[in-house]
Amino acid sequence: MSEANTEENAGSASTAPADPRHLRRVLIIWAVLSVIVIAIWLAVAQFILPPAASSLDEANNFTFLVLTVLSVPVALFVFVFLGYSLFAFRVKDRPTEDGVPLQPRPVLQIGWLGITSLLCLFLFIWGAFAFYQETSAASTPNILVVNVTAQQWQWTFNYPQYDATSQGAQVIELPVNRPVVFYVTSKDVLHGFSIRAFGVRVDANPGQVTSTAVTTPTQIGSYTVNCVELCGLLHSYMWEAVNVVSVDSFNSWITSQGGHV
Amino acid sequence: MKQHSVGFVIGIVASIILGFGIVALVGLGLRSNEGLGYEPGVLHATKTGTNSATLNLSTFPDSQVCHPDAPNPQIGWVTYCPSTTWELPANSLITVVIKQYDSASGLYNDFFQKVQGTMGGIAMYNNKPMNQINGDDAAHTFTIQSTPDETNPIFVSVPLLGVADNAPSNTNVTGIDGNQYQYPAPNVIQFQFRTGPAGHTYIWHCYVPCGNDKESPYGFSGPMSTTGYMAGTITVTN
Amino acid sequence: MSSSSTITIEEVQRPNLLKSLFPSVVSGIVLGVIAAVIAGVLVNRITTAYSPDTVPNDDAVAAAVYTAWVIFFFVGIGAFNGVIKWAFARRESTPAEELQLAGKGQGLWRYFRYTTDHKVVGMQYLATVFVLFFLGSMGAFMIRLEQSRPGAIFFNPSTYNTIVGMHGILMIASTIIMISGPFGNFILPIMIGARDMAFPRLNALSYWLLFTAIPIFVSTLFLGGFQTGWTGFAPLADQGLTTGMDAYCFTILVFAVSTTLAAINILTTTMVMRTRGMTWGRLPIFVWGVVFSVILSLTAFPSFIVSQIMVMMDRIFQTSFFLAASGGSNWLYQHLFWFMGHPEVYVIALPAMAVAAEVTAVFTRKPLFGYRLLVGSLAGISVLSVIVWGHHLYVSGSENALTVPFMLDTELISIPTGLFFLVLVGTLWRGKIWVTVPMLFVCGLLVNFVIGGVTGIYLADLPTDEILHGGMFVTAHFHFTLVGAGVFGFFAGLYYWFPKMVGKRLDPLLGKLHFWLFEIGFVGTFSALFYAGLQGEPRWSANIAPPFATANLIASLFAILIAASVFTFIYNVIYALVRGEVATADEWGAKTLEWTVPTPVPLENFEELPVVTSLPYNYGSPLPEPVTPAVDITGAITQAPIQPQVED
Repeated sequence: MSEANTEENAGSASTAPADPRHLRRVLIIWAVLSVIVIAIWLAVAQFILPPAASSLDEANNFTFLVLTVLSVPVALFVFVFLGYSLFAFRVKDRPTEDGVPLQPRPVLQIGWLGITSLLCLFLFIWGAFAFYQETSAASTPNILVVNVTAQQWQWTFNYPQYDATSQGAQVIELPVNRPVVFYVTSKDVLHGFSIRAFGVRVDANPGQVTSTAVTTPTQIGSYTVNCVELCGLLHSYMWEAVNVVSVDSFNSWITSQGGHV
Repeated sequence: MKQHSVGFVIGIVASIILGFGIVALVGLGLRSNEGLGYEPGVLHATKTGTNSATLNLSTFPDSQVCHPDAPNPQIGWVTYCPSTTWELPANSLITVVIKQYDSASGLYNDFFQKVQGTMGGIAMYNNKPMNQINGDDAAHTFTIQSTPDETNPIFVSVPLLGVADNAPSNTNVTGIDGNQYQYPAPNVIQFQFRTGPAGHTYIWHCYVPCGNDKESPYGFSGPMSTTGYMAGTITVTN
Repeated sequence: MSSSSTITIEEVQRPNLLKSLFPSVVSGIVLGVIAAVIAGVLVNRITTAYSPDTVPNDDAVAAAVYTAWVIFFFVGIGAFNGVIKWAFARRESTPAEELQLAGKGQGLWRYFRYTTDHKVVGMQYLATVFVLFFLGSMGAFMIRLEQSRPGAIFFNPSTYNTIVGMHGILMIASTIIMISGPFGNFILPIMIGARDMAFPRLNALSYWLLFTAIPIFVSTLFLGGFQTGWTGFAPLADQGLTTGMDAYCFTILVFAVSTTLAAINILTTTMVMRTRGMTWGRLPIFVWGVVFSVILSLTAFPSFIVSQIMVMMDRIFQTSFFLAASGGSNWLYQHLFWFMGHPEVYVIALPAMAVAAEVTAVFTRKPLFGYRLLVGSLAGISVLSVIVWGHHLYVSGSENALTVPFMLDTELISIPTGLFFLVLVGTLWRGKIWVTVPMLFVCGLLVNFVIGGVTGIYLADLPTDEILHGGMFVTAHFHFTLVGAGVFGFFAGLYYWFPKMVGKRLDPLLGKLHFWLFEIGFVGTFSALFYAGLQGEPRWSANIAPPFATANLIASLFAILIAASVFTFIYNVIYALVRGEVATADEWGAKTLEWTVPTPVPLENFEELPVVTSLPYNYGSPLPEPVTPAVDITGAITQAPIQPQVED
């Protein structure tokens, strides 16, 4: 928004001489702050984002990182211009004269629309690309299938490829580095199947089977399944622990749950 | 800036304090509204030794025995008696004895037809040890599960055998209002499990859709979604 | 009841108590309650008699009770008196009767009767909005109290779910009407140079419908509450055996009808009752914002009404619109609901954005930086908002093929929203910024709305939605937009127009205290919740899992500041009413028409209807007329044209 892009009229020239230094100053402040904040964000992101435990979660976390990098200058634009205006153009009490009647020139309007549209397009293409990647991952080989049944207020899990149903103890196990997909259904009302650490989320609908994206757990550790769709009295108690373990541990767990490897 | 009197400033402080007072009143009012969330009095397990205790419960097809003053829609609800809020001693072997007076509704998730989490993996059904029952014969379940991210998880699930549909109501039970109520002869189910350290809470509820109608989603309506009837909390204390 | 036509305008008729009480809200309540009880008992007996288990159909009883309450409340308050007097008698109302209906000579009683004067309705809406907002805030503080530590500490999870639902719907309902109700009714007709709205009796009807919805809603507290949260998702909504759920559904029905009537009224008024010279191109931006908002609500709310009727039918008549076991689908509810739900947030946001623009022009003494640009952006937001509802359903499994198209148009909404920021930032730039309390709230709105808007992008994109849907990040996002823009816009408008509506000044020191407590508390609370949502905390958590405990504790501590700000504000209003300085007619030096009428505003607003010649933002010196060059007979220029100088 350069000074040349705004129209003023000569009548008020005496009250407000053309002041490109304001605009230059605020744009410099904006640029510098953007760089600083983005640098800070990139440094602290690893402490704010929970560690990614699967390939998909890693991709989702990366998207979050990129979106924040893009959002910082956008948000700072408003903050910096607002702050600078309050600092530089504030009057103490009821103003005795009017401000400079500026109007946006076509160049500014088109330029602004153009830049915001490009940003939008970029975000959309990014999202569409990620969506395409997820759907095409459905054809990777050796996917472990887990059937999830949601009901008020417990998740029950079944591994059809091994004829095993997890019993008791609110724990299931998954082998590390093997792609897994969850087919989810509900026995009664809507539930939301979510494993934050794997970046998967899908609703459990009565009478339908929906599936999560295919994801590959990459870290051994303990994670949780949460319900993210309000389902009644004990909605916030509906959870399950997911342990990602080595293939051998997983096989012996499967056998202990009554399945065959 | 306009000068403000001391009274004005006192007014600000007073209104903030008054406001928080109203917040407290609203909170207390909501808590005491039993229609919104019903928590009956605590039932302590009876200690039978330094590290053992017994919990005596019953399940009834209506609420006359232990909620005689329940409002009309609730008197017909199935319920656990005498309470759904239990306190169990820490690091103990708990023996649970349930007198089950209700007829079967049947499970809709076979996961719950197995006995899980008890000592030996079995429960005694009228003195006969079994590790699962037929899903269609379940009247209720006794299922304890842990709250999110619990460090000392407990999971116990025992299906409770239903009485026959046509069993005669020839057993007298005295309600807390002193009246006698008739029910069929109960099935007695007994099992044991261990508690961990003190200071942990768990929740329990029934997983047989014995709410209004077995058809989804009504199975888990009514008593199934209401603490005080078929859902409650367990606190492990010293 | 009608005063004779010989009574002159000057004479004030002292209202006697009986004439004031009947009809009034008092008689309305009395008749409504009696009818409700009778209807309830009747339907109870009838359904018990025809039921195979001799059990009454509680949901039918609830529906009958509420219907009777609404209808007979209106009989009692005299809403049908006009129909009887004029329609059946086949004569027009006399001007004196209309003035009587508008509250002439009734003193304060006119606020408690079926009064058609738009200023009375505006004040009634304002008072009701305060009440709804206060009750909703109580719910919010209960939620923050419960969520401050892990475990179910104060409330049973069932009570907590009801509190969450009540907070949600109270706030949604109050923010929908927050600006269009009080200011859309009181200020807007004066702003366009009209004497009243196009349908004054519908105006009274829309307000009193809102009023009747409140006891219906409060009754849920005594009927077991409702477990679904404000979104009322079926089949959970079908499931509840207690009638608290029916109270919720019925509240929505009555409220949505009320808002639809108000929307029709505002739209018609703006279309046909603008004064001479007020073309669409000279309409104050506030009016544009409200007009777009009501067009959106007319598009969206029918879907809401339908979804609640279907839930009621499932509950009363055992239909199965939403029950998969009998061939229905929960996706049907979700689509119907979100088709309303998304435009609905813009119904809330657009008037607030328009108030911000209106207020900014006044307190920077500058014309809007791109009036047409802003109108275009509001229009763009309105159109786009109707076709983006699917982004609430990315992970529902119902429309995987549509995820990408919905992603596209959801991203597109950020373009007109960006234009709004351009206009406001440009209006601030090089203005004479007078930082009054309304201006402070606009600054807060700008800060909050950009954070809210930017976080919406994360939710619009599928990869990030997959880690954030149904979590507290969503909660923080919509609070930043609905509260950060909607409520802040309301307060900007309130501090701005209060002197005109009430005739007293709100204390600026208290206003600044209110603002800072609110902004700091608000940003603190919801930033902590952004963090918690990022870590994976689900929404509607009665029991916070330990990993999220610290973030929630911080959020609850900041919420104390929000609570303090609410009480400070209430004190400010009461103090102003009781002991406030009297306000002048032109409090801020604004140029819109409402500041040209005296305070308090006379019954018919204007002595003479004004004629408008320009946009009300002609601050700054006027553009000098360009002079055509003088030419001599050969065509040579003898005097150079005087052009307005463009400086660099």
